[in-house]
Amino acid sequence: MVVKGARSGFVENIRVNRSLIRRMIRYPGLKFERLNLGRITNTEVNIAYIDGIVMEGLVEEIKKRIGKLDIDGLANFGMLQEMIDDSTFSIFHQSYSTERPDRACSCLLEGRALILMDNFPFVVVVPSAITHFFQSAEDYSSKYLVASFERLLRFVGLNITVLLPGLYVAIFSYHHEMIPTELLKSISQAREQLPFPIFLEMLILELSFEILREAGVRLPRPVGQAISIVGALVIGQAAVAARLVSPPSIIIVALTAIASFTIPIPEGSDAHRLLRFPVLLAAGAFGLPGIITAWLILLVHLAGLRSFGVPYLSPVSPFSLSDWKDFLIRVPSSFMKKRPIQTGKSNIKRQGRWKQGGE
Amino acid sequence: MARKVLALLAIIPLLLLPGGCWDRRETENLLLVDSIVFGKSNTGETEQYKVSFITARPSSGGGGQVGTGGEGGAAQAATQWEAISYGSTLEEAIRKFSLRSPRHVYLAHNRIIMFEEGLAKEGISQVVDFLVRSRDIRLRNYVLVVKGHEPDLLTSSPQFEDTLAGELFSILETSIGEGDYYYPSDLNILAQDVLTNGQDPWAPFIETFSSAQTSTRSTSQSVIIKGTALFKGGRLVGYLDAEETQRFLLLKGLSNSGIYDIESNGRKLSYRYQQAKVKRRLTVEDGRVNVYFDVKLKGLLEEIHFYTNLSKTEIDSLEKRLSAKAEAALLETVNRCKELGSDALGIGRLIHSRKPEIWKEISENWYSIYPEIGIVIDVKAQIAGTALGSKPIVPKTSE
Repeated sequence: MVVKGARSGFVENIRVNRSLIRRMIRYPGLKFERLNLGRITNTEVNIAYIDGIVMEGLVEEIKKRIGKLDIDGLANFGMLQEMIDDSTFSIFHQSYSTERPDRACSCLLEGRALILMDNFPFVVVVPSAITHFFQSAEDYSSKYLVASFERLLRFVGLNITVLLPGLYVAIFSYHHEMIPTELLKSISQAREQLPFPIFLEMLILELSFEILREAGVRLPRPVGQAISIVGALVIGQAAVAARLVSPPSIIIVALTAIASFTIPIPEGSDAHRLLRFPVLLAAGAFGLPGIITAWLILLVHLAGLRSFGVPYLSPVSPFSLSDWKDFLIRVPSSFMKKRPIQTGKSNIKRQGRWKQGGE
Repeated sequence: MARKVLALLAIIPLLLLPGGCWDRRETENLLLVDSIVFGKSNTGETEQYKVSFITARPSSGGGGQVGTGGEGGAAQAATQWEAISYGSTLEEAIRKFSLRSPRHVYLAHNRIIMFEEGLAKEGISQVVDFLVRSRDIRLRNYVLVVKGHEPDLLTSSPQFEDTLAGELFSILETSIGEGDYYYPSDLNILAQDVLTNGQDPWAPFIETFSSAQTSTRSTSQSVIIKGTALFKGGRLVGYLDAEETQRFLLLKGLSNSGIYDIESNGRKLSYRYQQAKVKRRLTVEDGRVNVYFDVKLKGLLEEIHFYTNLSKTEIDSLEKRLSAKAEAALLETVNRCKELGSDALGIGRLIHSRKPEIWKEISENWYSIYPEIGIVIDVKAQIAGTALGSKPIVPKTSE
């Protein structure tokens, strides 16, 4: 959902979806290639791309990967996403799905391809990269300064999601000298006579938050609200009053939970929500060195990850300055003259020479 | 393959268990020491160090709305815990404290280190050496000398903050600049002064006072910063009072504000300088070393109790008289240092850095030469104007 922007979304009918894309890109080079998938279900799958812009060899690679599949039927487009991923065991999806035609079309213009699947109101965008964790469709409808601020917020949010519970545990159970004296005093007073060590307390709270979230997703909206009120407010308040958990820990868990929702695509936020548990374990066992090690392992993994041959960490590594214009900050639209270097190599120029302003 | 993966999945968490957690400590199990007082015990036959710890007692009221009582003045005494521990070495004295401390003694958040007068007179070098090399103690710890008996200190109560250490810390941390009657010296400065040739240590000193002197409502005893304690070598030799401290700090270049009063027309004028520049020079005339302090002050007349328009000539004459008065006061402070034999001003250090060849000759018996060194002070006080928003409300024809 966006506040400002197109309200249209893909539907279950692939023919409607094709026309939604076609309405946005009225160009003869826009092509849909039709495949059938599933021996029994015979689901229609389309690969959409713009001829002359799409990354070289991408369409052939997708066709090859889909063609290899020998399966009776696909229950969900997520299965397709998982089956065509480069690295099966990675915690990150190496493609991402969107239900917004405008988002899908902007990806087409970046040289990416879409995979449409009949009966599902989502399209899969390949290749995907870390930039997608921070980009939201709304960024382009708000002014560049606001959009940049929001992207930086998402970056902070992502780091909070993964690191904050771990940092809290590490610092308050190993590195007391790092904490300002007054803060340490107030926290240790709040923790006076509590039954659980800080690590166990955080683990319990984080798990109960996940349970709460999962329960809330399953329930219809009016009931879901009741659950969140009972769960978050009543239980939280009662747990503090009963001196089972300390108020600072509740604050940390709540902050982490809220921060995890700043990541715009579910592929990103799910992975990072899960990642905070290994970080928490490492922090509980080893303190800050543990967190640093966990973070390094994550970075090494990300640096080695590829999505259809495109490095997942681009434009951070391999570094590309022009792609940073649309990564953690968003520069004014008139400055984004090139397509992303990794996917748009075959037709890099996006805008011609022109100068903004009056005569 | 699958078996290997399963085995790895089981082994890795098990490996975490023995490796980790060995120095994990819960915050609520720490005894956060606010302040340490070092002294010598005088009761036993053998010399023993006496180390007192001042800590804040944890109140269970910290957890939000749970704690009920504990608010109000009556609970103040209960928030502080003082404990004394003895040992023939400092380490022993600190470790022995764990015999009676219900929690793990944690010194990394200590903020003030105090030296009892008795110990300071015998020498602080060993204690400073211990503190500087101790892992937990931070060099940022403030340093104080306690004049009088330590038991007095431990029984005094804070007047404003929760604990005595908290009160002293707040005084040291926040009040600097408002008159510059003391300088919050820390362990870093003290250790450097102990180690530097031709520089004697100094530190602010505190004294207990009965609060009946300053407040009519309570009669409990509290502490006050009185001035600066001067050392010779590592031994305490004497004290400067608050006014002398102001001059002392000015000469050391650590303070740039202060007050002088002067009489004019039979009434007092108060001059407050807010900029001070001190230039130190050195001349050698046939083997005799002279040290010059060129002091430039700039400030305002802050208090005038008579009606006048200060003319240029009047200001000039006031400036001259102020300069002379400041000169005399500063010289008096220098002479006081000389009298005590403490080179806390760092005259030796100045000679060492400017004329190393002369320092080589005199460093051997510096303390006998030091009182003979000629020290000349030249003050130029400048009155930038008056700080009065309006003319004094005094009838013209009052007298």
